Amino acid sequence: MNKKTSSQVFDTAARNHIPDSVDLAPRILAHIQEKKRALMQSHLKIILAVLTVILLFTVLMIGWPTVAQALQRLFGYLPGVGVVDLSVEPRKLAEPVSQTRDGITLTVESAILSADLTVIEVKVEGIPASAYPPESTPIGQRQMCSSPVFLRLPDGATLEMVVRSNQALLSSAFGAAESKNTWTLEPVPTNIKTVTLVMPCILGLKPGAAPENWEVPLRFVSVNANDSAPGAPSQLPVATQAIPTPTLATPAAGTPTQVVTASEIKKLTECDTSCSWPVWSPDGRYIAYTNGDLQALWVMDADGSNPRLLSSIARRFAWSPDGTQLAIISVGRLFVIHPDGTGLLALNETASDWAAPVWSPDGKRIAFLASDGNQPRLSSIDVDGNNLRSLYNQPHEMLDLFFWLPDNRQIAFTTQICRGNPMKCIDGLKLIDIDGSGLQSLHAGENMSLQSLSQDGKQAYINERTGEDEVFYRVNLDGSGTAQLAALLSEQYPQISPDGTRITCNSSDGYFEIMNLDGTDRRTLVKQAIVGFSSWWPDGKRIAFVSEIQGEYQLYVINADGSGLVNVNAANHPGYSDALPVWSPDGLHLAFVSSPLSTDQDKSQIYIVDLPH
Amino acid sequence: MDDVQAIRCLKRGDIGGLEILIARYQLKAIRTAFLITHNESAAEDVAQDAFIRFFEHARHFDEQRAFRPYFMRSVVNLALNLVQKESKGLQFSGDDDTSQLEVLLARAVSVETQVEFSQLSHEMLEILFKLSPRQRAVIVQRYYLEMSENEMAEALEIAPGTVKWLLNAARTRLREMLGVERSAR
Repeated sequence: MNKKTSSQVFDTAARNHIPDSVDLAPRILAHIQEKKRALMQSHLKIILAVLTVILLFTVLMIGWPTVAQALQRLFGYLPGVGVVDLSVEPRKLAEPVSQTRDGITLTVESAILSADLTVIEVKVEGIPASAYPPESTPIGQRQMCSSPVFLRLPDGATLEMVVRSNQALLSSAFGAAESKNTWTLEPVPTNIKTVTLVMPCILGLKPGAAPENWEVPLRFVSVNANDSAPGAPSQLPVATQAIPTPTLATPAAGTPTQVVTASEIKKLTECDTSCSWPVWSPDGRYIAYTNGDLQALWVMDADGSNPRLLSSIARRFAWSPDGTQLAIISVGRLFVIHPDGTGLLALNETASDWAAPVWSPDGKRIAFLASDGNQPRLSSIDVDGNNLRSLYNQPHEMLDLFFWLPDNRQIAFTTQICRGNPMKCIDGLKLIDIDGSGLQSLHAGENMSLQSLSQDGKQAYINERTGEDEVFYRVNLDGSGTAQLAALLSEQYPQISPDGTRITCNSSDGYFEIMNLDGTDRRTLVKQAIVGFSSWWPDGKRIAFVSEIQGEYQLYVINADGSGLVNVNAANHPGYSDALPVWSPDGLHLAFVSSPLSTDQDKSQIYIVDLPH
Repeated sequence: MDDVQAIRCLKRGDIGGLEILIARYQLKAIRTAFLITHNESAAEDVAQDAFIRFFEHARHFDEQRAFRPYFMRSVVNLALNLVQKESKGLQFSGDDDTSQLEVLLARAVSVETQVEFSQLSHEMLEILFKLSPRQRAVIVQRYYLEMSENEMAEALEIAPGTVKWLLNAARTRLREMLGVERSAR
């Protein structure tokens, strides 16, 4: 037998009780349908009717094409379809097609075909109320058709459904005689002009209550063709502007992008499966990383030599401040070990791997979460295993991140407590003395995240999300106050520079931006960056980030002022993407992980590139 | 379609987004619940409840959060609440020692024959169901859901552009960095 992961072992064991064929979708959709019906009160129907009349009046007054074109200009996508890949000319249904069987008429009203999807609109009319499952049948026991439609190509191959907007199921709550469905399916190859839409049964109806196995021939033409029936969906609005391919901005006009080629990049190691984010030792001599499903901890010299296995399972680890030891949590045990594999010392056997251990700044103690199977409690212990102290534990409160203050005498930590139905969670930032006394609450709020710490360790930067707004705060860890910083809108993954003066973030439209902490002097660095993979250079002057180019991730470095763009064209091998950049402590080297995109090959690699000041 | 796109569909009122999530996560969710509740029917109810709750609150879902760990944590909590409610007064093995289970798991990971594997997995479940519900939940989260840095490893096997994974990886990294940076002081 092939070697399994622990997850696969449990999955196989559970499969004897929960077979692969289980499908909750019909039960869940039926439940939602029931709730929708209850919600659809008469006054809502009236409001909807009024709105519909207004909308129709508007369309009649200025014409649908005008409305559609306005939408195109506004959003740049195919209305009713969404953002699609228009790299090839889109096509549409040549003419509507109808079939009537036993009084039920199925009409394929429109279709739009792009390079990445196929969207089909189908109307079903003449459905008898008796065809729906009776409402008296308890939810969960109702039998109804949920078999997805598909497209059959002339050679017999099939294209499956990707998304189903299943108004049929919902309309059944009202006993509707008519329903409209929008289905998104896999893309039809550009050389295929005719397909057959196959509908095993009408969604939402009782099995056998209506004709089944519908097969409707469809023919497609270019959206620019003028061969469709008058008044038919030939007027289906189509965007005229192509979706932009990932492109980098030109932050420093006239400055060519420097390309670091593969020959200048050194492969340090290859993992059995996946490499974790590489972690430099504080002295820059070593790189630690985990490898494989069980997260075996490996350490290698910074030049990739002498790779050695330190622990076959290491969920969490942390370098000591001087880089001479690692604290590791493995299967409930906390221990320390030198990076050469010597000096193994078990400190505690109740360690939880919810969070990584954290060394005190003087390297004398380690904070960790201890658990004997119950609620994890914040604890600390000397590096020789003595003086175990339990610091904080509150029922039902999850502890997350924690860190020492520079004076070695206090620990700040984040908590989350969730209550109620619907559940509401409150996050908190707290401070406690290392003897367990002096508990202080520094900040509390919903959707609060700790973003980073100031370089001197005396302040924490947090962000709080309320609706679409995301507000940053700077919290003085001595309890002396909190200051509000930038308020952003739908930003993603903000990162504060090491000197605490600038923020980078990914805007909702995918731009990689930089601004002052108060939100002023906001500029776009590049037009396309992948959320979550940026990394500030230690001195705050450069930033590494990842951009998606033609489906692959590529690594870039840019100066904080927008100049000096460097493409680390790293792996330079198709099918791999580069990500997880991390600077060495001296800022001279950038390590990163290159990973395969397909599941057929799963060996990640760690690379390093020298990028002098 | 990745999780983010599915959730955005859902937020727009497109039930298809929920169907995508159900198709993608239902088996994992039901088996997770089963490993905690030791009851097939209850496990299905738990998973169904989790999906419906998510559907009802999807509009408030913070897209910066990775869906999978968020959802699976919800499944774990629902299963735990259910089994704790139903197991009031029942006794479980007192010491919650999971070492025997972990030894069996280590063997099962590299076992050579199907027969031996079946026996080991059977023994594993027997031991698992003797643990307290809370300890079961811990084991399931650690070894079945692999809810830690492994989220990143798993996600490396799926299509690019999966922003949820990226966010999750970023958070993992933040944890690591905080540990390292703090320890470097």
